[in-house]
Amino acid sequence: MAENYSQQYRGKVSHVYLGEGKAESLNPEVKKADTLYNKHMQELFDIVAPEAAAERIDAVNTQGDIAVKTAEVLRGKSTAWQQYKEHKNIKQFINDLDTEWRGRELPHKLERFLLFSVMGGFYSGLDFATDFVADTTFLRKDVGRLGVGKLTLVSLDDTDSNGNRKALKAGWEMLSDKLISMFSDKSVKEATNRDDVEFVSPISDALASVGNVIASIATPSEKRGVARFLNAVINPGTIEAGFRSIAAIPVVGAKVENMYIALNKQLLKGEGVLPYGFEVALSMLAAKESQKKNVELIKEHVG
Amino acid sequence: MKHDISDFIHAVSHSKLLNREQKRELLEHPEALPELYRMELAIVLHKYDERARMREDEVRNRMEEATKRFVKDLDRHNIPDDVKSELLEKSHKHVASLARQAATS
Repeated sequence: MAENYSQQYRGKVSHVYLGEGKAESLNPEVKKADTLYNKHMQELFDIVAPEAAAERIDAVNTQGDIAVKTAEVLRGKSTAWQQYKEHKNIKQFINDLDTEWRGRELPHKLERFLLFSVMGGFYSGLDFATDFVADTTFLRKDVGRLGVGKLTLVSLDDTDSNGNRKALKAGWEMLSDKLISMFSDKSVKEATNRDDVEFVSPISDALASVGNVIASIATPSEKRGVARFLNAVINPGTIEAGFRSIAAIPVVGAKVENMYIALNKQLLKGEGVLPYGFEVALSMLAAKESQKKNVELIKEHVG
Repeated sequence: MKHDISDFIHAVSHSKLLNREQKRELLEHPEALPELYRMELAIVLHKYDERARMREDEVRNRMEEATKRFVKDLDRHNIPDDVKSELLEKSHKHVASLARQAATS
């Protein structure tokens, strides 16, 4: 019976589960097969692993190639002219060329042009009004002196032989320009609710300073209308508004804007020929004015 | 132009590099892409697929060689046939999936 009992299991049972712990195979061939199989799996892994790594590198490089090809296409299509050759739309070409030259999309060009033109006109009107006030009050020809009571601070004569009238006018012009500049800056601060912004840029300030001196020297004193017009227009607010309204013109304005930015950068950094140029110009103009005065005095003395 | 687009469409739709979403995006309006870009992209994708196919073949060949050596080892050690066939079946399944993963992991 025991023999029959064992016969039914002979050759069928290869190992017995002994509960917890690893079951040991009783068949040495199977144990050997497991070992060979593990060795075979290791060999397969040694074949596959480097290839998988190489494939990753290849995929990354290929994706990089695609990115470069895309960039080349975009670069080639980046110019307005290239795009115009495809769409043949003049209006779009002008807009694209303007954006390309400006380096940014500038919206509402017409509105900007009108706004800054109006602002420039307003500041000119303000300057004209201040000049008019001065010309009709303390700079009138019949005013012989400026002072308090019997104390004379500045003596004036109708021929301006001592140059005080001209100096007073120049000083008043500078003061009114400064006030207009402060007014425009304050307006921008209020409109934008920011304290770190201003309207008048350094280039407009500098051009106004030099321009006023040139205008006062170059304009004959009898051409009062011309002098008044030039003085009204040459102020920081109007010059700045002029720059900005011209800069709002498509295409042409882009180059003006680029020049405006470049000039301001030079002045802000104190680099380049521009700051030096303005200093020289102002010095020379002051010297010329002084020389002219000396010549007039010499003529008087000799004559 | 038509041949170019069909080549591009074929390259993208059969690409092993791109996923489904990327294929869908590229194939949405292929005619809107510049012709040169379509051509160059198709070339890049073709070349990648070719290299992936070569990698897959190479890996499969090497793994089949390894499997033959495994079979010889099993025979040399007189492993019973039932155990041998079971192990070979498992090995073949592994070889197939590993070859695919190596090509486009």
